[in-house]
Amino acid sequence: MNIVSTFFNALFLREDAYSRMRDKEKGLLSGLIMIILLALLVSVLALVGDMIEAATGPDLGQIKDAVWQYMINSSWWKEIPPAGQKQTQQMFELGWSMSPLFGAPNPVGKAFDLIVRPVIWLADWLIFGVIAFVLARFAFKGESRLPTFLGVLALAVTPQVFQLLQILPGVEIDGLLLNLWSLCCAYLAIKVCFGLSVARSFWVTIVTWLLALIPFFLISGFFTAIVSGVQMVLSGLPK
Amino acid sequence: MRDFVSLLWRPLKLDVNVFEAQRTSPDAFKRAFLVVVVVGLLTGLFAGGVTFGNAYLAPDPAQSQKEAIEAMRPFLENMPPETRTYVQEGMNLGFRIQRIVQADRGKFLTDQLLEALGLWFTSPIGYLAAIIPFTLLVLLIARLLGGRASLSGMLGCTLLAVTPHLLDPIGILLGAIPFCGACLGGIVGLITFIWSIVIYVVAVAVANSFSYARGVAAILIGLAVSVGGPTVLMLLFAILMIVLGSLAGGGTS
Repeated sequence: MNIVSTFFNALFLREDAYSRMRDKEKGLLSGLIMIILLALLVSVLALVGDMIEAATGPDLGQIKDAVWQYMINSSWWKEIPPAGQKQTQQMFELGWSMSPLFGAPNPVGKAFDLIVRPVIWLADWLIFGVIAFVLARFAFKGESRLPTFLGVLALAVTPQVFQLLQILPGVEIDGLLLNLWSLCCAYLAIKVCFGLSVARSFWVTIVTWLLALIPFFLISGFFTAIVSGVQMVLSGLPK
Repeated sequence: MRDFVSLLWRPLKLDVNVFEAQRTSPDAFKRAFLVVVVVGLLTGLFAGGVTFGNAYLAPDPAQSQKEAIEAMRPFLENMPPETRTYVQEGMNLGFRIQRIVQADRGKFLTDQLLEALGLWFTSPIGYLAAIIPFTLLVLLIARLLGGRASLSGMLGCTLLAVTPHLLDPIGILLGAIPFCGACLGGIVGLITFIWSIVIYVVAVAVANSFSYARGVAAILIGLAVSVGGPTVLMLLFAILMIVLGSLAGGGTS
């Protein structure tokens, strides 16, 4: 019960919730469990919502067939040369395969989130936490220990609770709102944990946020390089 | 309960005391959040109800197809034959998709009901998404202008600017009146908008313990940054692309 009230008080930016987490024994473990449980709960409810949407929504296969029949029977289709028709068909198939990116139900992809989401949230927490700790401790001379700080920083996950609404089909929660709200929670975690002034806590939060983007770009660049390499191998080596 | 009702009602009267109480309350953000939830759910209930009602009363696809063709006939007759063919083919595709979507009425209504529920429950989130990011920017500027608001106090005061949106259902109802409805609905929307802005100005000034003039300045600078910032970034990006392009061009020539 105590952790639930801490969770909601932290969500509504009450500083005493962050102080309580800082003074808590095994705060790191509580924070770790909180992140994993919330990530799993969000993923399960999003999966249920997606399955409901797939069950109650229109048959996308039929719509795809209708659009394809419209294309090949339309007057402009005959004006396209055969090579262009084949290319158009490939683009059409590619477009439909990407429909989950634009909100079409995809229970398999959502099931995959059961593993991916907790891993991403944990990685985000650790990367942000370590960078903020180094900055606050060594650049701004704040006083705290890394495990204590990580425990308090875990409260920055609380705004993600709104993602539980994804159990309702088609619901999308504004990402900018949740990210900014999380950043406000992280600011309070830094301020309370290290006892820094408002201005110093603000700068630690902003600089950490910017620096935390570097690993993200490196990882996404690494995967882009791998995918490009695989594509090059599959389509023949460059001349 | 009485306290909460006054939190809904007193900001509408621009009662400075309610903002001052919010500024010092440790639960300012939570209380204002509850106001947003209540206003959002009340107005969202109406929007969700209208969405589902429209789906429930939607005419049979064959009938709506007939009506649409009749309505389009004068335009189609005046079109060049080639354009007319394209438009008719496109319309036929639209009707076919509509038939697929509404093929199973029970399934269609369940889908629409769930969509309306989603719309209802996420209405408060819409208000939060509209106010919080801008308020954080205004908070930064206000602090630079000498403001003393805390994060929770600033959000707790400014979120009360949603209260005039309690008028939204009246605007939707008036909008349904034939002939003058759109105009009346627009007037109500304009009143709501201006009222919200005035409350927001008072909220920023009181939360930061400074004058209304500084409150207006913080909001105007915030607006300029939020509009101008992306424009400047896009310009910088365009310049970067041009420079990179010319460097690459110079390297190959």
